[in-house]
Amino acid sequence: MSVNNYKPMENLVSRAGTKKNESTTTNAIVSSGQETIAAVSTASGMGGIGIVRLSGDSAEEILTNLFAETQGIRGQGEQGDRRPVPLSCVPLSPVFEDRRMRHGWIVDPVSNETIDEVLCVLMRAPHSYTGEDVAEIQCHGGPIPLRRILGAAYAFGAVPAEPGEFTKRAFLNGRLDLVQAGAVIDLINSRTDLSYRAASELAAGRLSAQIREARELLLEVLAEIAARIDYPEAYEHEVKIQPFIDSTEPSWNDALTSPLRAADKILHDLLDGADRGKLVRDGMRVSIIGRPNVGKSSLYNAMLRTDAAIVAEEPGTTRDTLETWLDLGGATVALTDTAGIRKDAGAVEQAGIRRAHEAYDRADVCLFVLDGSAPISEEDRQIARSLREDKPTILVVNKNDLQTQLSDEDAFDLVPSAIALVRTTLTGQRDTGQRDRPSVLPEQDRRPVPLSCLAELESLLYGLVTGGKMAAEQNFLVTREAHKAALENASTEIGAGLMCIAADDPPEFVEISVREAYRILGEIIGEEVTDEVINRVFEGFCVGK
Amino acid sequence: MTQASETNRQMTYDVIVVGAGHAGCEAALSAARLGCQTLLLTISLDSIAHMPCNPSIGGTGKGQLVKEIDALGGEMGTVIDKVFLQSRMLNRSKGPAVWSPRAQADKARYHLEMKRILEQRENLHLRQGEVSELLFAEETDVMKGVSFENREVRKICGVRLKSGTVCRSRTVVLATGTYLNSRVFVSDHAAVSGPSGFAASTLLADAMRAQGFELRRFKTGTPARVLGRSLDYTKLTSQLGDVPPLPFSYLNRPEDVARDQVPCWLTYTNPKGHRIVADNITKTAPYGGHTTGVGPRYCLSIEDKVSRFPDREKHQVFLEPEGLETDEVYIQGMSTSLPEDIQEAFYRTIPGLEQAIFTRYAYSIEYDCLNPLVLEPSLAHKQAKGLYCAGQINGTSGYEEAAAQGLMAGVNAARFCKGETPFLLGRDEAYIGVLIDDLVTKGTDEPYRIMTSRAEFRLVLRQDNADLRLTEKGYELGLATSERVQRMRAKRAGAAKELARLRETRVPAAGTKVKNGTTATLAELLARPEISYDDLAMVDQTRPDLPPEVVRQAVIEIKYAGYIEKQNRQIAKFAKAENRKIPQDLDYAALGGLRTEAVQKLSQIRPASIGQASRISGVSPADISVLMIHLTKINVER
Repeated sequence: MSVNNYKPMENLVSRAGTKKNESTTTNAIVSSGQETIAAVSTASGMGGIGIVRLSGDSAEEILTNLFAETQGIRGQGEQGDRRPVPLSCVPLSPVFEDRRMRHGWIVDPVSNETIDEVLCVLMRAPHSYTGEDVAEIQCHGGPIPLRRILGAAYAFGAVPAEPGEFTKRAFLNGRLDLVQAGAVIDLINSRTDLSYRAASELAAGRLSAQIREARELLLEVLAEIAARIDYPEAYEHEVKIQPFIDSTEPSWNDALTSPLRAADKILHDLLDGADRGKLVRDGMRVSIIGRPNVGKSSLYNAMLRTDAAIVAEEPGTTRDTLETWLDLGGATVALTDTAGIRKDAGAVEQAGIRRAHEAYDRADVCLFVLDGSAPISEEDRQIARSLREDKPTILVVNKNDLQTQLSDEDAFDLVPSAIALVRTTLTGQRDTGQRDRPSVLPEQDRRPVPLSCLAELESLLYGLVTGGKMAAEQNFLVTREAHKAALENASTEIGAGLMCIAADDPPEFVEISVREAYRILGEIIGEEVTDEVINRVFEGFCVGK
Repeated sequence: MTQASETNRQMTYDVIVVGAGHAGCEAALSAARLGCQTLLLTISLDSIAHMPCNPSIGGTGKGQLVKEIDALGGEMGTVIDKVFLQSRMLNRSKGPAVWSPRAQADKARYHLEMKRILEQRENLHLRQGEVSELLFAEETDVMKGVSFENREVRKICGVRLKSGTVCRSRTVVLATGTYLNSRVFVSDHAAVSGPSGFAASTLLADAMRAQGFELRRFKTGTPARVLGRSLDYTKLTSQLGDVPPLPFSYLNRPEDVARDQVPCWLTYTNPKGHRIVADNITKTAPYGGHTTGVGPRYCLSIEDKVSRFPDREKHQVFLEPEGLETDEVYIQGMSTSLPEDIQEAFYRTIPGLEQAIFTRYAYSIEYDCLNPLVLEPSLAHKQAKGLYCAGQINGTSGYEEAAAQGLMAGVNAARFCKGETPFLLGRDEAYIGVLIDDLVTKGTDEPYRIMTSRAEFRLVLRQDNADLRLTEKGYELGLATSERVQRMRAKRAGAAKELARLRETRVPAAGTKVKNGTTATLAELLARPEISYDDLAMVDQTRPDLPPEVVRQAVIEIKYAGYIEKQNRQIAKFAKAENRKIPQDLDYAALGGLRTEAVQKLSQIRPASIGQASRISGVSPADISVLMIHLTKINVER
């Protein structure tokens, strides 16, 4: 038995006693301890390149976990296919040399799929901006790769950086000149103003209303626990007058578990909505699939040349998957054209088909294109069987200018879970019309299409993003990765509390987790933990001598 | 140190303690134990360590405070162990972190026992006398009436008594309790009086106001007392003490405090009584607008209970004996300031009290106190050098809270005399640290009571390990005796040895609800919630015969390892910010970048560390960042 447990301060003094450690000790005090912070450090918007920056003791570890070194390069030197692809998506724990750029891929820790092709560099302390270990991940500039990389970094233990925190750490670690102190303070204050404003806007919204509701439930639990612990005699009395005293179950279970479950449900609903909240901000992925020659590329091209603005072009991993960002009246859509899927494909084509399936997996919505001039084929059926019911599918029946062989009923029979059907008359004929902007796809052709058909499709997609089935009734409120991470942490703590109760641990142990969840939620809406619990005890319980 | 001479009337004391309640007694004893010539002044020697309210010591949070006072070498624990009528460990059904000892005290014997200890204490002069004025070395007429903020810090040099006698000293500990300008209310009848009919202190508060001290008014109340022989015990439920009772003091073993215990009794109020209270509520002092003091929410009068919880059909009433040599019984939970005849009518609606004979009626009492934000963490007054404050004058309530502050104020007054740095305890080290930090950092708007909920690190601040946490410190101070520290070291070593043995000893796991044919260490088995230390006796061949408190430490360490580890990590983080000190002469207004509210709060409270600054309400995380940057700049420039 060590007395050390009871003398934490002395331990710290001795640990921090050497000169060498002083800088890290200093910075750790600031707000977040020794935590490794992460943030996107390039301007928001759709720049060509984005940088995710990490700073702190775990920067290297997190980077190592995320990064998969390029192991082999396929098709190197071939015109139009210069991009390397990873042969393996499993990180191989690369060893980073100090300040040396590395090329590779960031891999999603959960799905194990690649997020983006990146350049990474590790700058070891003290030779970095902050004076701590700093990792920088340079990726493509769209919001999705940046956010997914950041999310992955959080998953490996990084925490969102406070406003101005990189600069603050840099200053506290002596990396900035003293005359810069004022500038750093201005930075903190201006950023704080911004985040305060954001917080105020948030406060007006439903997110903070829901978080308040969850906190209220947690407060109820905390007050209940506090009253039971600090006023055991008053509580014993309470139990005596209640009928369930005969129950063998510990009497405090129900009063604690049901509000905890209710709070957790609120968080889960918010988290469910978080992915859809992303749709609004980051856009919805739409993939076009179908067997060869049904008009997928025609649909893709037609959608590009409507009044939807092209906001970014990102070629897919191969020539046979193309992705373009569209802005449909404020709603962002990432449209992906895929290779036609069929049974008897050659090796190269099969690679394309595999990627078509991958694109489908990634997509939020699928446009399943069918040939209206022909009956349903075996290949159509095969594709239909591979569709997932939980992924919204819109049937696009093309080639209606030719004699229609495919009724709506047949199409819906094929995909019973489809949410809509649109008929179009797009063909692969060469486009002879004027283009109002340069084509990004020189070898592809376009021609005017009846807008009514496309408009219908687009309004469907718009509705899905902003207010349709996927959005409206869902909690559409969590749009920031930092909030999502906080909600997940809070939910984990509540889960730990519920497990404590299930294990029949004493209430003061349940309290640790619940209080932590309460604190985390308070941070999101900018409310401190003060004496709320004690106040609640006095308000709600008749206690005292 | 000044050499004392009983005959030298011009002698200068090191420490004068004003008031001999629970704070004053501990303050005087600590200062004297640290070798200071100490004078303890009280309005009446018959009110020493008096309990004007509950005849009990301890309870949730409070019990931990008593254990800590004892671990440091204070007196409260040993005195209550001598005189308790009944002792119980509260929260036994919960985990070890919130177990809290509570004992019914024999009120008169508690007073006499403490008085005897004071009388016998070397370096301590106990005398009756009312202080009428604090004396300052550099006080001039110009200063009178000028607000405190604008004054230079003055230095205390003694006190003047009502009789005119001047007592000189280098420090003064103010522990005036509820006596300062106190008024007692029963309905609309108010009288200048201290508690229990003792005289009030009538001159000191006005003198302090004239000197620029800002005082405010708090209030509290106490219920009636009845004769035990007038109660109908057939209608009451008895509540017995633990067998065997566990001692408060680490110097005592359970067998040292074994005795026949006296029961307490439980009964309930009913709607009939509530109606009487509700119908007459405007006749109470606060509801009738006769008092202005702020009362505590955790100690509701019956009129508060009835008006705030109108749906409650009953409230519990504990009947607690006040002593072996008296038949007076305390009616816990039923304080009121109703007129005496209505009090009687109400109390007699309670089953068991129908024929009650009243010896004292309930009253509320209002008194002057300070805003504790004017204090340093050492309990020194910020604008009066050598002046320390402890107990109810700091806005607290409760004997235990008072005693804890008294001990700390006495120690720090003594260390001030010796030119030593203040002795401070952190929130991560003791409930005493939580109590004082709350007072001097957050302040309080009502009489402050300690609660385990206030201690964020309560898993490691347990009543079972206060000695392990604090006795070494008390010994270094010169407060704890070598006997104390040796006992603690033996317990610590024994627990460490047993912990190691439990972790190393492998036993066949058969018969211990674990799969047959495997082996496990005793610690691994003990870590399972369903297996207790006693359950392992049959497989544990090498078990030594150890005192229960030693076994308990080892078992807690194993059973709650995960939680304790988590808490220790939180503490490590907390302690870093506490260790980041802020110069006391920092001019916050000149720093730039801080919000105006933060400048005001920081200038007023003058936090000792970044950690303390971050707990001040009105100081934002951004303000803390700005402060950090300035501090870094200052350090580099120096």
